[in-house]
Amino acid sequence: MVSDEPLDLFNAAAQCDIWTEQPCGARTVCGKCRVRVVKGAAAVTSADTRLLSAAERADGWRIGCQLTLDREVTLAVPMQARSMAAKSFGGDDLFADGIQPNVQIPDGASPGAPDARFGVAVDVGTTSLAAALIDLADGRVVATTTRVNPQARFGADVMSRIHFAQEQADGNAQLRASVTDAIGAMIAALTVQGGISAEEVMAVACAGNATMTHGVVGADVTSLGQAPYCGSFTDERRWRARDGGWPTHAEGMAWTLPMVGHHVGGDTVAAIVACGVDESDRWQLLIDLGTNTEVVLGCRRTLIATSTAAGPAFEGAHIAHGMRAAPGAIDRVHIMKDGRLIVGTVANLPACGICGSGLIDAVAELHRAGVIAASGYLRSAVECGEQGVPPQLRERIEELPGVGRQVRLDGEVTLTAQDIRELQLVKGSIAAGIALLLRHAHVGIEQIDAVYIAGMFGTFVRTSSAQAIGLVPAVDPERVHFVGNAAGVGTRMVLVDAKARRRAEQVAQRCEYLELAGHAAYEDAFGAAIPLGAW
Amino acid sequence: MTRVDLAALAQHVIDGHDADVGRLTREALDEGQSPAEVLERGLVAGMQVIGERFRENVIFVPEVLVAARAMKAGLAHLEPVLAASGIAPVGTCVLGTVKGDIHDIGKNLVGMMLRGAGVRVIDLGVNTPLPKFMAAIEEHRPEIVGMSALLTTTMGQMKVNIEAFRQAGVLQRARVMVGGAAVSGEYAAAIGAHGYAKDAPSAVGRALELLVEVKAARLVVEG
Repeated sequence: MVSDEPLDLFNAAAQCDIWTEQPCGARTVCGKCRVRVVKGAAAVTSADTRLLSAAERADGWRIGCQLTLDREVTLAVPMQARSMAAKSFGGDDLFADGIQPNVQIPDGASPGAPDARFGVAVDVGTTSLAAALIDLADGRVVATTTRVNPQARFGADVMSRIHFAQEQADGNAQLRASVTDAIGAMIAALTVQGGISAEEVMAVACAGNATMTHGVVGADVTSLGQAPYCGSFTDERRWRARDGGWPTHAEGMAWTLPMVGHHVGGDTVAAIVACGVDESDRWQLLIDLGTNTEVVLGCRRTLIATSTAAGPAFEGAHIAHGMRAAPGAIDRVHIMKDGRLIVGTVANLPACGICGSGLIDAVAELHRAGVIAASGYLRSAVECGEQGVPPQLRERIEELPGVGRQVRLDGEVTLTAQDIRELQLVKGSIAAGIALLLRHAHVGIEQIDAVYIAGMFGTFVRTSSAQAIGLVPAVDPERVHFVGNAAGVGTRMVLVDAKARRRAEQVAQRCEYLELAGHAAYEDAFGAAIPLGAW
Repeated sequence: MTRVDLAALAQHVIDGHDADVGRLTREALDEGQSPAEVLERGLVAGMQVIGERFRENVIFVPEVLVAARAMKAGLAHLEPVLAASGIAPVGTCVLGTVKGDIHDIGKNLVGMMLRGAGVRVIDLGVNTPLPKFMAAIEEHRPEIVGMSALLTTTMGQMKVNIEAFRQAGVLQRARVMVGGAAVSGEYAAAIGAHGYAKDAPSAVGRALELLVEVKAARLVVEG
């Protein structure tokens, strides 16, 4: 692509439809955004000197988040540095029970124009945006589109973006413009894909966490970054879509789904509606796995939510060979009785890293085989021998000066002792959140009728592994359901059906929030949740 | 009657047996063992082993938490006796999580382990505004001020606080340490902190080094 001005890598790549990653939010800590200069030259930055070896620098590798392109250059972006995003909005039978129209189709639309009867459901994720063009008459998905949330240039995670708004005088405005421009472009792209005109789009419903929702609306996000972490509003916000610059019918309305507060946003409310937790007679648990993992415990009478600052280990950050679920990522691991270790990778390509589900599988299997102790300690080859671990598995354990002990999984990809600790911290945080919710509601694990695991990462996780390490309570595995992008499905429901919209409003009002930071029992619960094991 | 074996007390600390640690500390003191000895060979020795094992990745956060709590049970009996016998603490440290942040597990661990190392710790808790830090520094004259922040959105307070400390002359008498998930060694250096550690056991080691530095500097100034 060609540009008149210097560009950062993220923007340049985006224009070539390549979505690059910044796992540590451009803090130059992880080195995972590295790209290779194939032709031309790029200056060496201090981050390059610190994170890359002399040989790597000489070979053209540069730290992507620090790269400014100001002359002709050809770059190779490795798979590990790329983001893949594909979200679904549910199947065709979603409205089998009928629809109560949410949006009034105007009579007297301009002469000659067909009835405006489409809407767009937007899932405003921290990392990726997804939108679906929906036929409002029957709720059918006509087209979908996904793109990386361009706010990523201001920070990979919510806190980094809030920090940006704190530091920059017009930070809030930049955050808003960035995401609303992208949503506008997605709406336009959807109309083209669906073969309709912009005038036929009557409604746009957006769901995101509290920071994303404040961003879309243009409200100040900074209070979300300081205790008590509250925003300036939680109710549904509506505006004329065209006033926000979105290409719709002149009367088309846009709105954001209501929030619970404290980072439990419209996306969680949407997920609750999609899974039906608010209408269930029995207790159900909803876990939305991600960097901020929201957990909801509820039933018809009660809803309580909490946000566990789990961390991005599932997306590969802080994991030695961690990466997102892109081609080549180890996403499953199995150990046979004779000690043979088998890995599965995305798209069956040679292993170039390990993604969240692979990490959970690896730790669960290695624990089961006696290589990792319940405490999380990675045993030495000798200690494994004492445990009766077969030789061909023991042989995979290596001691590397500087890195410590690790298990070789496949090719260059290893699991280090530190990786196991990172996973323990994440799962400790989530499991402690679940335990405290249960305690708060005086509900026992045996009373849980269903566990819904949502989040794009959640689709690939194996129930047996998640339960074996204690990430998810050991309820009957038949009761564990992977619901993928429940937030997207819920947003589609709210867009189309007035009953769903009312439910969302009630959920937001009824749902209680349990603050974990500062909770008297948190330290104990966290400590107890760190060791590996089913519970 | 056999005297309480301080090595056995240390092992109870390592194993996290808080009831046994409390009981044996009480017995050791009652039978006249020197409080300084009980602290050094009973509690501190136990925590040192914990620190080493953590660094070697043999144990992790829960084991450190549990051992630190057991040690705290022993300190509950020791601290009043130490104070009464005029045994001066090794130094004083004022700790707090900065304004806007309510995370404290790491800070609590550091506090517990510092106490175990013989340091008098004044823990201001979470969401600590600058004036509260200043008042505590004024009152207790610490050698070390420790600040914790978990979030990128709150760690900016550390920079603000250090600047205020500098203006008020605090940095001539004390050293500042920072820590927390969002903080890095580079950030610490950039904002003028004297010490940084990424976990509680290393924090204690660094704090003790800084203590020696501060005391030497004070001797020069006041001597």
